[in-house]
Amino acid sequence: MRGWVVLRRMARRAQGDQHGDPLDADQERRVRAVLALGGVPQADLLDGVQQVRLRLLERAADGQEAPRDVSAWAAVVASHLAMDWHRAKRRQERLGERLASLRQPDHASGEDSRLLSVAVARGLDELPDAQRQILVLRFYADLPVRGIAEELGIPEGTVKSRLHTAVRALRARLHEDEVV
Amino acid sequence: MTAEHDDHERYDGRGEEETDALFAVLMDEPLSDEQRADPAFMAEHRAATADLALLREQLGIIGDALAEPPPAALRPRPAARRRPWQHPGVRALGFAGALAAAFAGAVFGIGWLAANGGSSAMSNGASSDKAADSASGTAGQGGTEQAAGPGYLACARLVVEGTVTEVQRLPGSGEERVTLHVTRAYKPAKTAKEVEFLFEDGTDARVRTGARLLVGITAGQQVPDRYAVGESEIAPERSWIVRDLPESRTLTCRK
Repeated sequence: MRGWVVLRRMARRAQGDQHGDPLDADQERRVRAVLALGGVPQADLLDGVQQVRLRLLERAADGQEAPRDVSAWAAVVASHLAMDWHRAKRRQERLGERLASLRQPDHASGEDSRLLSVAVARGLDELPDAQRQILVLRFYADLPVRGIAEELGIPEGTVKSRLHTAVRALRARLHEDEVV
Repeated sequence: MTAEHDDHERYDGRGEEETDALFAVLMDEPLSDEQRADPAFMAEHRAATADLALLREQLGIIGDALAEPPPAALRPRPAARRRPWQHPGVRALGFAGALAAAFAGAVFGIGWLAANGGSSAMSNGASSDKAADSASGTAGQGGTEQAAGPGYLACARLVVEGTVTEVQRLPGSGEERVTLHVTRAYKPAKTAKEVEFLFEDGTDARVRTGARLLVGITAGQQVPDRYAVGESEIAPERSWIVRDLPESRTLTCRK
C-alpha cells in the first residue's frame, strides 16, 4: 500500500489546490462500497478513495472533460483499483468473514438478515474477480451492461456472459445453503 | 483478458437452449408470447426476478456495511498510567487477587490475567492460554508495542471480547477489577470462559456490568493497553483483528 499512501498525499495536495472535493459525499460513499465489495480491506479504503479523486483531478489537469456521470466513472475506477489491489497483494479480502465479524444481531429477524448477508458475501468471495467486478458495477453501481462494456473495453457479450455466470453461481449457492 | 478469451466468454443466452429466464431478467428482455404461455418459464422468471431484487438489496447492505468508516479508534491507556503494579498497595492486592483467582479458576475456570502478568503465573483456569502463547512463540517476549495490525497481535498475549459481568473497585488501589465473560477469543484462540484484568479507576465510565468490551493486553503488560467499548467501537477493531490474525501467527514478536 506504500504506493497508495504516496498517491493519497498527492491527492490531498491536489484537493487543496482545487478548493473543492471532486467527489461529493454520496459519490465517496459509493466508491468506498465498490472498493469494499471488490475486496479492498477497511484500512485501505481511504487510500482507494483518494486514488479515485486523484484520477479525477488528473483528468481535469490534462484538459479532459469531466466524466458525464462522475458516479459511474468513479465506480468503474474503484472496481479497477480493487482488481489491482488483489494483483498487488496476491490475496483477497474475505468479505464473508469480514461481514460476519462486523455485526451482531440483537434479535431473531436480525439474525436471519445477517445470515443472508453473510451468505451473499461468501458467495461473492467465491466468484472470480472479473465476474464480481461486473456484478458490483451492474447491481451496486447500477451501470447498464453497455456502459460496463464501454468502460471496461470488453464486448457486451462478455459482460453478459460474466453477469449470467456470476448470478447463476450465486443463486445456486444461496439455494444450496437454503438461505433463500 | 485476451480477445480470444472474450470471444469464448461471449454469451447471449441463446444457444442450443432457448433464452433462459434468468438471462431474460438480467437483460430486462421483453418476453415472447410463447414464453408467457409457458408456466414453468414464467415461474422461473418470477423466481429470478425476486432473487435479483434480493441480490441488489444485499449488495447495497453489504457494500454499505463494509464501507462504513471506522468509529473512534481504540483508546490506549496513557503511558504514565500503565504500570499500576509499581504501587506497593496495588501489588499486594494483586497478589491476594492472584491467590483468590487461582482458587476460583480451579473451580469456575476463571483466568486471573491481570494479577499474573502474562504466562509467568497463570492460574489453573488459564493454563491453556499459557500453553497456546508459548507455542506461538510470542508470549513473554515483550516486544515493540504497535498500534494495530499483525504486529500488535503477534505481541499480544490476550485479545478477547465479551460482556462485562462485574466491575469491582479495589479500595485504596485506584484500580477496578473487571470480569469479562468471553464470547470471542482471538488470542489465544481458546481462553477461560471468564477473564479478569484491571483498569485504573475511572478510566472509562462505559466499562460497567453489561457492557460489550474488547481488550488487548500486550505480552509483558499487566493491564489492557487497548480496549473498545460497545459494538460500534468493537466492530472495526474486530474487523482488522480477524483479518490480521492469520498473518500475525507467522510473525515473531521482536524486542
